[in-house]
Amino acid sequence: MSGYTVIPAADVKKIPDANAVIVDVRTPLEHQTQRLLRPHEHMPLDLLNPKDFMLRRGLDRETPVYLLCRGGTRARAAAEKFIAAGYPNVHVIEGGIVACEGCGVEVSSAQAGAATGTKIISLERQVRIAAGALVVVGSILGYFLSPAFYLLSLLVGAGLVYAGITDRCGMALVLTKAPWNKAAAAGACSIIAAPGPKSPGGCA
Amino acid sequence: MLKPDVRGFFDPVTATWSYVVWSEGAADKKCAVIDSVLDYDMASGRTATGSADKLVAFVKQKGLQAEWILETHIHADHLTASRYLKEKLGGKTAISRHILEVLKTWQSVFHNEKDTPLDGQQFDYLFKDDETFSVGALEARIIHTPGHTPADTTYIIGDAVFVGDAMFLPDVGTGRCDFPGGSAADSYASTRKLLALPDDYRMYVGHDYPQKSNRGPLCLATIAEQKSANILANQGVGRDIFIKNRIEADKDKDVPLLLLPSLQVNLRAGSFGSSVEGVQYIKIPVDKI
Repeated sequence: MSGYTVIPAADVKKIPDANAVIVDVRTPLEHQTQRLLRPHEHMPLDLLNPKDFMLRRGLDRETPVYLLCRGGTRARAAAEKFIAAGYPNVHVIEGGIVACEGCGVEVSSAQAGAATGTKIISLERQVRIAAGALVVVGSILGYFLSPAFYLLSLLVGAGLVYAGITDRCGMALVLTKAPWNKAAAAGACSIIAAPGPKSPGGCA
Repeated sequence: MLKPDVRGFFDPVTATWSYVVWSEGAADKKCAVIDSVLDYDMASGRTATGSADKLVAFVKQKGLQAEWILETHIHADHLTASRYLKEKLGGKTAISRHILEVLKTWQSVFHNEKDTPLDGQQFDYLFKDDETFSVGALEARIIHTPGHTPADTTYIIGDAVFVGDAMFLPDVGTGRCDFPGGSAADSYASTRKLLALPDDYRMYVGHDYPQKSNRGPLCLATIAEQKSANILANQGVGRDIFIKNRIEADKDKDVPLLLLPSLQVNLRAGSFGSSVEGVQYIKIPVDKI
């Protein structure tokens, strides 16, 4: 079984629009906040079923698939899914949308919740609030109930250091599964650069 | 049963899905092309082959041989690239024999019978209802699914069902029935015919209008999904209700932007017809539509 390849973010500019597909596997909230300006598909990692995804978009087995997330971790998980489903032409965009922005690939400017008017705070802020709350709770319970609760604060602190150094945040991954982060946009969508059907009166 | 591989190409300007159908499992490299698009700009009268060339590139890259260039019906909203594709890829252009009725209907509007023969000889082949044929090793058949137009047909190739505009994806519904010869009652009967196919058959639609549901363009739903979820024509919808809803939905609909050039070119199997001093024309009938 062949594996996937990893391409540098700068190579996103070389991916053709025709006969290739870029799949952003981040959550609807993240996608709504900031996304590639070029044509791509959006399908959150936990909803991704590679065979179903490809069939419904009329893509064949050999169509090159390029996977994108925030930093590269979820894209790798998505690539494993495609490889396991038997797709031979699978690529991970190294460093995700963060790296894309860094090397001049066109990305929409960040604007939380602006598209739908829903006020969902960014994942980054959600992590800060959740981590801070856990530290406070751990300290209070540690003082009043049992010193064992200080361990909670210790763990969160260590986790934040780890997340800062490796840029992998377990808490963010857990938070992406929260219902309010899924409700932002129903299901998956794709972004097409062309203006869309402009002829009045289709056949529906 | 040999199951086909399908590659869809979406044209965002006319919201049309075109398909290349073949089988990786077969020894031959034969394919069929269904419902292709020739780009056309109404204001300037200019054609372009960007959409068709994507399809040509794909067929060539895969090393496929076009055996058939098929149309599900005479499209009213886009021009077929069948003639261009035949030049580039070879293959036989084909459509249902029912288009003879459509040729007759529009003869009184366009008077193009000199370069648009009423016997349909501009197509390489005219299918009879329920005729079986093959795409390489794939078994195929055509069934009559009128309603959107009187000559709409569906190609069933292996377990893939190409319905043209007889049905759309569950959240979009079915094709409009307000064109000449269209019939909501026929459309209902056609949807029942399609829903009677095996549950796991893949229904590929001729258009998708995803902006209505805030999603990207998709091309496929299973028969089971259509049965349970088609907003206009699911299993539970009765004939009278369907007809009432369809007529309601078609009230005051805009005429498709490309209706007049589409009909003239599509009735000629993709040709712009005879020329005057090398110039070809599209007729615009006044007060006839």
